[in-house]
Amino acid sequence: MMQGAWTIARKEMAHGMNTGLIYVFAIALMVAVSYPIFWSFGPLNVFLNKTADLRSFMSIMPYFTMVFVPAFAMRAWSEERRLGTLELMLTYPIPARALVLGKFLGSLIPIWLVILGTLVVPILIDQIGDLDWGPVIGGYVGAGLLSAACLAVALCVGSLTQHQITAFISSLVVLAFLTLFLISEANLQWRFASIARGLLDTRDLTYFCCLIIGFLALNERIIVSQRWRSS
Amino acid sequence: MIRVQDAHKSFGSIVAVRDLSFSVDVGQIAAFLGPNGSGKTTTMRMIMGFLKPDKGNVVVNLDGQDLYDLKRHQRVGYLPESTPLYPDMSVIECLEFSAAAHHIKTSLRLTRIQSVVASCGLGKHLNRHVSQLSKGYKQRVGLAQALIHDPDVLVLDEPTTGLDPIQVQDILDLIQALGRNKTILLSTHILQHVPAICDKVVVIHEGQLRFEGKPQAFAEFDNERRIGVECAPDSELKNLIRAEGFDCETDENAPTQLWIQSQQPQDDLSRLLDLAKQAQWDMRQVYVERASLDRAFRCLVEGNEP
Repeated sequence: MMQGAWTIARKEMAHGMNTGLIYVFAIALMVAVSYPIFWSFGPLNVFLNKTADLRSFMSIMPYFTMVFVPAFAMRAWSEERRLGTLELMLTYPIPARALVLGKFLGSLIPIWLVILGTLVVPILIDQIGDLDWGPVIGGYVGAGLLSAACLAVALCVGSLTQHQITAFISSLVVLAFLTLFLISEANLQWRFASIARGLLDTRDLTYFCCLIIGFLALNERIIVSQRWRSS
Repeated sequence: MIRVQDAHKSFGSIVAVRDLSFSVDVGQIAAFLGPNGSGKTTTMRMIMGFLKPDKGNVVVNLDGQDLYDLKRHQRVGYLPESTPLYPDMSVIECLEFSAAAHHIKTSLRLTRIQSVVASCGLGKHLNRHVSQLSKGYKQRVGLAQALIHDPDVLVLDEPTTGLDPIQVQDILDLIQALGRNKTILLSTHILQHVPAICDKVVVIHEGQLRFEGKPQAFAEFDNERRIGVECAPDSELKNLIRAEGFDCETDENAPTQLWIQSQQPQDDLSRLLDLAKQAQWDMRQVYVERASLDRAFRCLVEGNEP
């Protein structure tokens, strides 16, 4: 199964890297993370306040993933449907589970690379001041899990429609609900903040893992059921 | 071989395929004919395992074994109707992806790619993006993808749609060459090519089987054939022919040509020859017009018997 998943993931990554969106995200995230720290006159400026932390990164990450991940994932299934390649792909000797996993990994790896690209900011801060790396590592682990969960949700919701814009808006709505409005224990932002404090709590890890696996499994069910029903 | 047994498939209230049964043996190229919306694509999707029949069986049997799901996908090649391809991939990337998706070992991939590139005449376009290719070359890429894993069974849904006559001939030559050792189900609307490359014809209409047999037997369904007589047709002769119960007309472009409508050309030809002998009719040439596959197809789907 993993061989099939990796084949799909490689195709997705090649496509993802060919689209401008990932570079827009990379630049926007880098600016959003570094601006309050290096250029703004606010309380986070490392030169004015002589304190080194990554609070700006932690505060913007949930909103960034909430918007960017659905934008990046919206074409994953709808494009396959529009081109008719989904029909062909479902006649390849690749199980539907591997297909979903491949789509997931193929989008997740570029997103993680973009997030890891911002590591240059804490490295620079560390040169200037004394940076506590615990919350930084926690923040990056949290960002990784948060983006993976957002992606699983966006792919699953996107598999219900063949229009990219519909996929984007509906994913955004579901993620906004999960990020902002639920009770705190079931809230993406709350769980992320908990990990970003530098404490890896198994409850937070379980929450993210359940969310990712649950939505991927649901995505598989949707693809299989749509396959039998398609006309 | 492909075996479709009492397959039934509906989408809501629309019945796409109704108790359909036919088979295609190893080494056969079967033309799969039917008007648009007759259920051909649905049947092909069921053969590919993309759709599941509501009732009945759709089986690909190889080495005496019925294959399902992934095993079937490994032995069957499929070219869907619209030739779906990724426009931002180059031809070589498409083939590499298809080879990897079919789990072809890395050490064998290059050989397989070289083989299909040669078969499909893609050598000069390997690095071009699919979006830059003509319709004909896109079709070739689709076919190359369907062939990459050297399948035993090929299901081709209108592979010649939108191609120019030379491209059509190239694709048909390739299919004919492949048909020597594969089972091929070929959906097409170009009936003229059927006798040249197909061993079998399957006609469906409104999801039901209308005909299954050899191309020659299919042609016999043309019941609007004419007998051509080259003579000096005058009104007396025409009256004589009409008195025998035939319908006849002269050709405006060839005044010496008389066309006689016939539903049973061989019997009618004998009767006409007897008549000509009795009436001392001066005939220079008499022949039965060749059966038209288009008319045979129309007769079949309109429900006329031969």
